[in-house]
Amino acid sequence: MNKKISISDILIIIIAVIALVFIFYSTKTNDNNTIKIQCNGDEYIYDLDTDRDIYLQGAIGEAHIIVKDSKIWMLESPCKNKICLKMKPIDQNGGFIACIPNKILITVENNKEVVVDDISR
Amino acid sequence: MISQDKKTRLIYLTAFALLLSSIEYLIPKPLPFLKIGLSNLPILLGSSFLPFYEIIILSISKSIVQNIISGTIISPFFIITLISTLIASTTMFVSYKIFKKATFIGISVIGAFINNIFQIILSAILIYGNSIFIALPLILSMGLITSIILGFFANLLDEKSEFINEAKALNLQDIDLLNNRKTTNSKKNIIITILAFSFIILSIFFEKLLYLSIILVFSYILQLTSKRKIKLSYPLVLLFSMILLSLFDKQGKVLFSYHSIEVTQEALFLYLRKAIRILIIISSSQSLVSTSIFSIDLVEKVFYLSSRFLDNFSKTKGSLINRIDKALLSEKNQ
Repeated sequence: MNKKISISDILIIIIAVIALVFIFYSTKTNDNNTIKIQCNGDEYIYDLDTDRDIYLQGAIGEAHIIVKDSKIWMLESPCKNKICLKMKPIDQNGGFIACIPNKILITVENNKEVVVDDISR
Repeated sequence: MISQDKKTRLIYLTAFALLLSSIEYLIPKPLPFLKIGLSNLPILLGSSFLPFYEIIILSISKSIVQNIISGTIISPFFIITLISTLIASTTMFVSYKIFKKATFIGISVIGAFINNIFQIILSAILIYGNSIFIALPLILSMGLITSIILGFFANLLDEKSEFINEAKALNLQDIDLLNNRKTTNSKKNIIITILAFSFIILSIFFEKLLYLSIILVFSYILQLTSKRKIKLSYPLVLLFSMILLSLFDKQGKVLFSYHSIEVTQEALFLYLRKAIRILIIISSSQSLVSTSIFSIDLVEKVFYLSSRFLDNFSKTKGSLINRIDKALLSEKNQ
């Protein structure tokens, strides 16, 4: 075995550096969408891509919110007019779901859109 | 089966790895996760002259003995070390055969890269969750630098070390273990074993932070009664890094926010729960190590030999390679 550093060594190191740069960029450009819920004065944050059931205590009672397949909608609400249950499920493209009697507002925040919003302000 | 000469060589190489991890422990580090990986040197050097099955045995015995010393033998950390070491040493063995012109520098870089990637993947699955991947670029670039240094060191050792030559020629002397075993209180050991295992099992079933903290307190009491020291630095680092990770995995009510940093309740509780579970498992594992259930003949020999090595290493003077060589060959000259 050749005792000093060889061309193969340098080649391996270069490949490792390239792999490193590639990994660095692939972990950086990972933008996920977050759900923001304003509920009776408090703020809640959830990941849009993880399915879950959310139960929140609003101004007049408990609301049941569903996150499934990167979409979010209201399933049950204690309010009288039930407008919030009829609103279309929202996803990463934006929009909102509101339940005014229960003081709940659901929005989806895309990390890219936040940047655009900041510039346009 | 495996011959006595080869068995002895594996014991020596494992003890060598232990000596190196104690040397690494003595080198001050700014951050706890910055490892030079000195203890992988025997596997790196061995990939050039050991047959494949001996590399595998060396990887397994190194992982076992290291985790017995750190007291993490019954914990996810052991599984992480074992699997990533096995995959990395297999890769090093194969790449030594493929890249015929590469020296230990190249082999070391490949080994460290694979080892670090699998450590992160496994610790994401078993301990931290996916948000640990943000640390991947940092750990991999640190690993690249330290593995190049390790490779240079391996080249030097391979060229100059008498011990490596003796190991290649299977010229090492078997060690006789004198009957210096401690008398152990078996009743106490049985109670410690049962309690430690029940703490680990209980920690899996309980969800509430309060109950988990109570179990943690009890496992620390057990650890104290089994006369293992409690290190405060590790739990603090773990708790801190878990809280840090929870910031990247936002879920639940916002407790506190400052610019884009938001502390969320569900995420915080989730990561605190993980941290306390790990602390319970480690503490119980520490108590288990104090009992004699791990005192197998081979392990005892490795411990005996490495303590002799360390003793000799601290007595000798000269260059690092010289000191290592003298320490390792001291048994032969006596």
